[in-house]
Amino acid sequence: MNDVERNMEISKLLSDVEKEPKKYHEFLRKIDIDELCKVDIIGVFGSSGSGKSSLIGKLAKLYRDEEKKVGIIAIDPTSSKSGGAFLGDRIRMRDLFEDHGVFIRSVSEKNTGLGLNSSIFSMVFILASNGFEKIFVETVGSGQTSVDITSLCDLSLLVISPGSGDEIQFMKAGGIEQADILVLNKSDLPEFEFLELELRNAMIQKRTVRVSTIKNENVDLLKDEIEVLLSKRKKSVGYCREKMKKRLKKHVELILFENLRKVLSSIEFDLSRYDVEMLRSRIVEDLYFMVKNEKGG
Amino acid sequence: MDEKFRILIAKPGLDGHDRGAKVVARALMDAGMEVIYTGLRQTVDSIINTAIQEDVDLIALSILSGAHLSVCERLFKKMRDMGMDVPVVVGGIIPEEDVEELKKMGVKEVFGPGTSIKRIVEELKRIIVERRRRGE
Repeated sequence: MNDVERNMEISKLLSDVEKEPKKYHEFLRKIDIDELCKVDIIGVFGSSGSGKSSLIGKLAKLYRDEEKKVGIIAIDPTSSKSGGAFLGDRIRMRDLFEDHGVFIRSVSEKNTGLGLNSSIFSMVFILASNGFEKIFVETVGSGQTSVDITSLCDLSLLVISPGSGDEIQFMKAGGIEQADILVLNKSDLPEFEFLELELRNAMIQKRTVRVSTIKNENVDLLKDEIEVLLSKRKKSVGYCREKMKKRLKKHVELILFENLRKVLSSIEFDLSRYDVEMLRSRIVEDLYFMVKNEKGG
Repeated sequence: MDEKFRILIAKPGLDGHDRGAKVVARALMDAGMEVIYTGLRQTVDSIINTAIQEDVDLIALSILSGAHLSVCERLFKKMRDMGMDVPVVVGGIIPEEDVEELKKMGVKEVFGPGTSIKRIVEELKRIIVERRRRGE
């Protein structure tokens, strides 16, 4: 089988798990945790326009120079109005379009509000067990929302660019505390010094790498940082099993969450048939029920 | 089972105008489809690779440069060689006399200037539903 035929097959598999979770069952059983651990899964998050896709494109190119196969799962928002999506991440990675050693798949988030959904886990595992050695998972995430991507990935990068706020923003809980490496992108812009100043004022103690993706500056340094951190992590005793456990736990949570949403949006649970007064009393009743359960009563 | 339609919108060749492609992309998103947009100046190889990796239901080419015949000829030849069977539609500035020839090559539908968004959405849905039915 040549690369193209193999990619066609992988692509169908990815669609299958996205559409028909049952097909995933058999595959999941066969995953060898130690084999999976040889693959590096790298999460990239940050607000839109910060340069995540372009950065992944450049990093992927560096890994390709070492003849490593690269998989990229690029997640974009789903329209809550229509359910459709405009998936525009791969446009930033056009240097890689003709390279069969890079597999880019655009996925829509499916309105979980978490930056990923349960099928992303399956997709990453499929790429990992089909010869891809470095897998990037790119997702939306303003840095304020919970960043569930970190439990899936071996290492997570938060990409920040100038204009993303002052020191107060950087002190808030969320993305910054969850990221392993802060990537300060667009170092070619004149406003860049203010970004560094605000971060200093927020007293952020994190591994930080300044890059200019557009000028391809320091991306190689970032790659070195990533590799150092990855190899350190993977060498620590029990890492692989512990990571896998975290992943599966998050995977289960997401599936439950998605099922709960399905129930909430079903006709049997249609709250719009209630009037305002009914809804008010419903809140009180449900709160009472919740408190009672917490007390174990 | 999730029946989301995935469409690849690609601009092959050298023309630099993609407003039409973007209008159609937004309209398809508003119609509930997942749209993958490659941007300008794509080669036949890159379009085919993208279509494979994204497992799209349909490839929509936007061509304003006049290169539609040669682009489609190369695209279909390559797809045939690879055993790929994904429906292709073309939009843009296509002279009346070339429409038949494009369809003979295998293009499912040609959308010229003035085509309503509604018609594009309906036609694409029809083409994809028909293909899925055949596949079952």
